[in-house]
Amino acid sequence: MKKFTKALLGVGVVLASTTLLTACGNSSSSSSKSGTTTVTIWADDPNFTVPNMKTAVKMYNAEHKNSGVKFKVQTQGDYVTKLQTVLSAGKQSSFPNIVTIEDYNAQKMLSSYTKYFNTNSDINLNNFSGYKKNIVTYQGKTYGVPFDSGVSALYYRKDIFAKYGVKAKDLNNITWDQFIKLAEKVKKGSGKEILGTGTLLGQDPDMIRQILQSTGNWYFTKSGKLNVNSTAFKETIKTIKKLNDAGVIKGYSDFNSRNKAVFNGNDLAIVEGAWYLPTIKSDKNMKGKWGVATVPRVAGVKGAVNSTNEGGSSLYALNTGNAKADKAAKEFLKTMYDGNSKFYAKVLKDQAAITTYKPAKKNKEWKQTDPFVGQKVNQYFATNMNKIPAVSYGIHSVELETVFQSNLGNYYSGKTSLNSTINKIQSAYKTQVNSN
Amino acid sequence: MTSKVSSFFKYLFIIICSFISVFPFIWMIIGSTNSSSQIIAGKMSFGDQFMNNWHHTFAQTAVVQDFWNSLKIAVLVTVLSIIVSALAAYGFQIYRSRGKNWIYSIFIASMMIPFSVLMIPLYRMMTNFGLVNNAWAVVLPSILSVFLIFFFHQSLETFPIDTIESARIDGANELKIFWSVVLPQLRSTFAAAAIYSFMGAWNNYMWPLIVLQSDDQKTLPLLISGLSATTNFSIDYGIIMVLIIISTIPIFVIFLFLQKYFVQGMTGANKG
Amino acid sequence: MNGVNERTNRIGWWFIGLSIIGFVVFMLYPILNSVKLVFSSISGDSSTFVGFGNFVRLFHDNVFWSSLGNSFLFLIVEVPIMLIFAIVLAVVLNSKKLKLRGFWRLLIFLPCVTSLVSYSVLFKMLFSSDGLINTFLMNTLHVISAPIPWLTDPVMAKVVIILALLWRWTGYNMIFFLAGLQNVSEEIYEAAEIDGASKVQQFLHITLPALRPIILFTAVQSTISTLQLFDEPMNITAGGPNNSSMTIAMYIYNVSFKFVPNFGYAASLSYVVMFIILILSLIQMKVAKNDD
Repeated sequence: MKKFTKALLGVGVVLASTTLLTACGNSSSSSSKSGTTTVTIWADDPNFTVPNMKTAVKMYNAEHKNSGVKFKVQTQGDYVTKLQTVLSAGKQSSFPNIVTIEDYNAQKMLSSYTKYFNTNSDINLNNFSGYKKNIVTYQGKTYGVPFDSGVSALYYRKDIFAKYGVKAKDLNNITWDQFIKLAEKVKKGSGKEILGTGTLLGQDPDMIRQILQSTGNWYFTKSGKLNVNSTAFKETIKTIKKLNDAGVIKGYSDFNSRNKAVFNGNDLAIVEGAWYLPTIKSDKNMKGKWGVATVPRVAGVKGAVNSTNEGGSSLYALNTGNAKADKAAKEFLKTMYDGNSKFYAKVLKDQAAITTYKPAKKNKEWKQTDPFVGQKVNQYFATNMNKIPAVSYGIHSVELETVFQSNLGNYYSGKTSLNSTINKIQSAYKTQVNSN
Repeated sequence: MTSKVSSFFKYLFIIICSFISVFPFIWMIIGSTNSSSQIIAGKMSFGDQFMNNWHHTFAQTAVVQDFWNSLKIAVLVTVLSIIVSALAAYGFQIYRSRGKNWIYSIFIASMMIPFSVLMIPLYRMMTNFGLVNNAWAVVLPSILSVFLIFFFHQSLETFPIDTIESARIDGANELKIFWSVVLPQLRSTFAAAAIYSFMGAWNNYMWPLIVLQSDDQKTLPLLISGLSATTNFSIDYGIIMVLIIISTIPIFVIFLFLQKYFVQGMTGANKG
Repeated sequence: MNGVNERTNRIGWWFIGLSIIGFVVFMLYPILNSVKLVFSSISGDSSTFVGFGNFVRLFHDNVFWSSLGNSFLFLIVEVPIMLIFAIVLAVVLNSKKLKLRGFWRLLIFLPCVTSLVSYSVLFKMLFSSDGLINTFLMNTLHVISAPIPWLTDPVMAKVVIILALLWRWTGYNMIFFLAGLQNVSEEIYEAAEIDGASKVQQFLHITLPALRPIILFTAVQSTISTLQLFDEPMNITAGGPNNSSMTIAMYIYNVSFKFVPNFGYAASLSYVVMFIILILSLIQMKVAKNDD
């Protein structure tokens, strides 16, 4: 027993002293370089935003050799939780200088922590797709730099669709009703699932978001009032119910199950943002089998278009109290993300990053034919991006989507009527966001 | 005859339970020999990607450094929390007084507070101490483990007080009694506490996530969750399987090591 | 323990000293810091005093009640099954006659070496509609003809989470019982054997009473952790389908981090959970005492 305790204690003491030493080492190394300014960048996705930011830092450093600024790109898991904890604690010195924020979350963060965000009036928002403006501005001031777009597309198995007589031109610029007819034909012939969603149907916000935004509306009015009792919202969920009744939509329990169905050929179509294409392309055997078409539009809503969006993010500079670092962060964002087309060409190639920066689209990379799909996919994204109706995502989208989860499933399966569903959503939302 | 039947059922029960316990691990090991897309497709046979997956893991992730970070934190927490908790439990149980009983009750009640309540004040405190992004920010709050105090307190409940009394009569001082009379008797308790404490620190996720920020401070659970958090682009499940295996090995080893003390305890060596 | 005199009593405080410092700094201070949140509605960095408004609000909050209900369901179904299994396994694995005892113990304990995040990921893959479990039941055992919608059916989703919890935590609790059994002397069993007591009688009259403090301890511990259940439903079912597996801890998380952050309301919800746990633990301790 004694031996064991002593051994444990021994290990503990050794480790304790090494940790102390390394801890001291760390602090002294960061303070000794007081001449340089450190700009810390937080990014959420180790396969996308992180390499993207690292590319930006590398190119920036090459052009600004003696700037005296050191950039650190850090990945953070459970990004939103972490960012919110750090902001809520309110210790500005512990803030990162630059953060990425998903567009649906942006207004919530900007309104909750306004004073911790730095305005960035140097950014010329006219350089970016118009729909991004509502996202990165708050109370008339520009806070963020628009980054990638979630411009949507209908990805479909053109080999199988063609087998049942559905050609590319049949799918472009059509309505959902027309799509259902075509999809039924393919479903009947092939016996496979047609439209796959990444979560169960009643839980899935992606389809609702995409259809609703294509009508130029959102869950809320511009002034933030709940807008689910509108024609646009009703037509949106009616469309999904129609798809479900026709058996041409399938909700998978998670993204992986859907990917699996896509890879093994059980799922023939996906409506999702531009970011989904790399997943499809990751299966090399599928080369030439997938096509890209426009997203169908809702017939019953005036002004509905065949362009919409799912996802995408923007970059924000935080107010850390260190004037030098804050200034360096803003300059970095302006130089790289609002002014460097070469950078955007590189990240398009490396991470398939679809930017909303318009001047970048003049480069030849945007006009090339994608060998996997056999279409000018990037050009499709670039043109459609500018047609996405601008809406305000507001600050309570997540709350409302949680309310959807306990109500829409019953509507889709026919257990509740449209009107009672809307009523239930309205009253549940009211308790959910009750601000006392 | 009946004893044969009962021992047959005993073994059958153990074998079934063990199989259920171990199955996901077998599956994990099989997974580490397959490619990411094969893992997603549910392939249930050994493949030839084992070396590839290990190679990718070491080439693409900072697994060695993160392993060291995890180990450093887990060992420190285990040693320090066991010392502090055993002392405290002994103090509460053997030197009972009204005041100490009160404090003990308050300790126990604090176990019921969800961590989410403490997270933001604690984070603020760590920034004041200048400990954000430092392993000590993870270690310090974990040293006080009410759970361990409770655990030691419970096992001291059946401790023969006479042994202590007679040591006192022999003139031993209180710390010496604790060290050489009480400690040796609690061998299996210490072993269980060590396993518990190490496991908790090793798998700790939420708090390290918040306070450890730069890549060179990260622990294994942060590495794993960071890699599997990606929803949009392809996740390399081969790497994840390898990382889960790597993160499993230390606790496996600790258990094997401390298991001996259970067995020793059972031979009756610690019965006075 | 009335015999403790003034001097030894004071020495006792020295033993507790370190833990009190730790408690004050890392528990008490943050708790006091959070108490004031309970009376505020906080939206990001702006805070308004609302008195007991947060508690009035949670009274009308359906999501709160349904997630509390889910948490209780997990508690009532899972904890007793798990503890019974853990005791039986501990007794069997404590038997001297059992061959390869250490080996079996290791296997049963193995699940708790996995981190919560990784085992949840594994279970999700195992129970997906075309996952291994369904394939096994359909193609190997032929007991079902269509895949069971494990993750997509409100009842089945709960079943999967309970199975996951049983898998992960039974071995963990077994360790405590096993440790507890070491303090039961062999002689008592030998004496009982001579008196002609059956194995079942020995179990009921010697083993169970000896394990009572451990049973209480594991029961309280499981109650606390089950009511704070988060990682498993978050990673296996994400609370779905239709919020049917959402726990109270997940709801608190949503209020703090997914919704417009209202740490005041989140803190109030947390204190309600704490209060419930406190009452349940007191009842459990009371029941354990009355059995004396």
